Amino acid sequence: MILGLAGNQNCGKTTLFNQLTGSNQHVGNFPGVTVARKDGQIRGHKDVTVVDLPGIYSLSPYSNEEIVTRDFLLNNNPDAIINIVDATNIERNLYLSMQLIELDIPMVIALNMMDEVRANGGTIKIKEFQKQLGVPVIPISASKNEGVEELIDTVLEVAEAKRAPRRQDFCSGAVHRTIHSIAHMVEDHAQRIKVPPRFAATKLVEGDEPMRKALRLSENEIDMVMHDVTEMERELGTDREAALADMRYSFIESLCASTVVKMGESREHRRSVAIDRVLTGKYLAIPIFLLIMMLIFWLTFGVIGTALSDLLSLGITAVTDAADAGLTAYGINPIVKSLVIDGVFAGVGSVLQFLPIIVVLFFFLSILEDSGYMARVAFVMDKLLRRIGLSGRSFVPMLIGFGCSVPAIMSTRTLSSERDRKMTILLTPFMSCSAKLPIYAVFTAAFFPKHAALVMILLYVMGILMGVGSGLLMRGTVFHGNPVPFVMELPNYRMPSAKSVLLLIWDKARDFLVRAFTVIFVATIIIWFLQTFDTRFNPVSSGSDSMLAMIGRWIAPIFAPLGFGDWMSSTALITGFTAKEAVISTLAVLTGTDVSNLPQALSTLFTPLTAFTFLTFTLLYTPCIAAVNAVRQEMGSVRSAVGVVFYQCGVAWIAAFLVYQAGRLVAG
Amino acid sequence: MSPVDLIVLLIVALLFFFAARYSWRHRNHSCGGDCSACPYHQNCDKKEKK
Repeated sequence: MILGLAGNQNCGKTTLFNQLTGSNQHVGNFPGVTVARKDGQIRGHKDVTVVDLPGIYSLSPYSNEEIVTRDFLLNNNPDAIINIVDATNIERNLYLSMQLIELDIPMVIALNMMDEVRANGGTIKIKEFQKQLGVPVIPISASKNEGVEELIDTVLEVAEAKRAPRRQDFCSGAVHRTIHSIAHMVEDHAQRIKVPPRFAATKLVEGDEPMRKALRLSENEIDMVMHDVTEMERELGTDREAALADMRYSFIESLCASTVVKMGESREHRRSVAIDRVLTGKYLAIPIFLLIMMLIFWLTFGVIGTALSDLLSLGITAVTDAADAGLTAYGINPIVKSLVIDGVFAGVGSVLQFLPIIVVLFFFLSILEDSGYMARVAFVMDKLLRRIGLSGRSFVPMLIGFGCSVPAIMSTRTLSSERDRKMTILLTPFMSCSAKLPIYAVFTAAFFPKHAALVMILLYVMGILMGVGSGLLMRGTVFHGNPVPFVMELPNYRMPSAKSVLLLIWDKARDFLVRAFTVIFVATIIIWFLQTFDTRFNPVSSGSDSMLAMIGRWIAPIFAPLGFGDWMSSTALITGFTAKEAVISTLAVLTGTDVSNLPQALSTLFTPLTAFTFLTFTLLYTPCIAAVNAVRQEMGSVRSAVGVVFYQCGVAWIAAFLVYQAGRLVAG
Repeated sequence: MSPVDLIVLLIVALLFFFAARYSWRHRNHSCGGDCSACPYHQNCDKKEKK
């Protein structure tokens, strides 16, 4: 049995999905978290699959979310629909319910957030409400797991009995006549493609092009449909879409008038409005956002994260020393010992020590997201992003890009405009992803220990500015036109949920650990091998005679004008293509140092100026291979992916060159 | 090379094999970042069905 979970954005679908299935899908406090369907089995009912569909406002195929939901409902033959309705915003939510009812699929309405309605003096006469709508209605509170068991029982009963909605016709007059007439006219076509005739007729009245094509109407039939629609428009004195919206809202108005006792303005909403007066104010919004971010960076890189990282580093050094002593005591072959200590322990350990920094940074960011602040930032950024030809909606992928470019690039699927989507894909890799954090942390600790937070912020801002510059360039050359308007519902501010924040942190920590023990481990061993042997596979006494040194020396001249033209840093940059953390593990292996001494070892390779130039290049140069692959998938062309690699390497080289030359001029 | 050397080498080789296999199988996955905030969380290595 398959159940579809459909509803507006940010009405609690994923929360209900988690309650129904016992899973831990991420629940975001901003709309549009779900853009692809997620499946799960209902607890205690292994044969019942529930599908969490993206949040939508109508069944018109305008956005990706609407297309995903509509395709599922029309093509996958769900046994029933659970339509989750936000009871605190019932009128707007019911607009979708009325369209779902037209699908003639067994359906149950879950009235979510009823606890909030009641707490603010409102109520809903459930029996009368469901009688007028013709479908069962269950009041629930998904976050408190109230009413969920009753909802499961009801939806299973409705699905097993195949009980379709009792009522589909909510209109009268001209709209009723038009839908009725067209439904009869297209009945055969609709049955052929297994779509309810009434739904097909409504969509044709709305001017739904995909439905018209799917029905394969003859020229004569299209003329007759158009004739009926024109007559209706003339009689009502309005256009087709407005006529249908008016019909639906008229019914909703009369339904709510007779069954809903309106709640007073909720305390959460009053509080949110008051906070927004400050946080999203015309002059204060951006300075406050920058201040918050600076505070987060300072706490992460200057206080908590660094202290924890140093502690972990001591632990890793102790384990490495113990392993070293153990292997020496056993009289292990020096090459094998070097593989374990100089390769595995030095490489993986050098990356592993930054786990606390990642966790602390994303702890703060997840609090911002879960509180509802990030949704506001998207709105604040809309005005700025519009200047470079993007809408505020692009901010969400860019924000995700500060974590990782791969999901950020994929999340651009939420953008309805192809132009906005492609531009966002190309700009996202400029954001500093979390994999670059270990590089920043090592270099700032080695060269700018007193100004670590400042250098971090400078790097993040530099990435954003490069993105802005590229956006302006693209707007003037490749991507002409204007961004689509940005409309997003702002959720109320709320206390971040401990479960949500902990889940998010756990996900980050797990991803980071997996990464360290897989990709970084592999890269480390390959680097160790290439550094330990020459081309005839003889062990070398000095790393400068190794295969790696040979390869590095071919590439090094490219970086000579940037001030770091030695083979070690060039090689580290190449391995960074597999994963950015590999830059650090490679440097650790090549300098032959352990975790705690890496900053000191780097001071033999770089000066503060060349270190900052190196950081600039690392910030901007090619995304890692996983991100490049994501670009290829999303842009649908290898050429675009290769273009991104060359474009970013070019931008990085020029930016690093300018930084280095400017630094030399200033330093005299 | 002593038997202990061979055992250590074998362990590292096995770990290398499994790590490389895992990395290859998850090559389209994210790089340790903001997966949980992603709409495609845990699904990003699955190709979108057209």
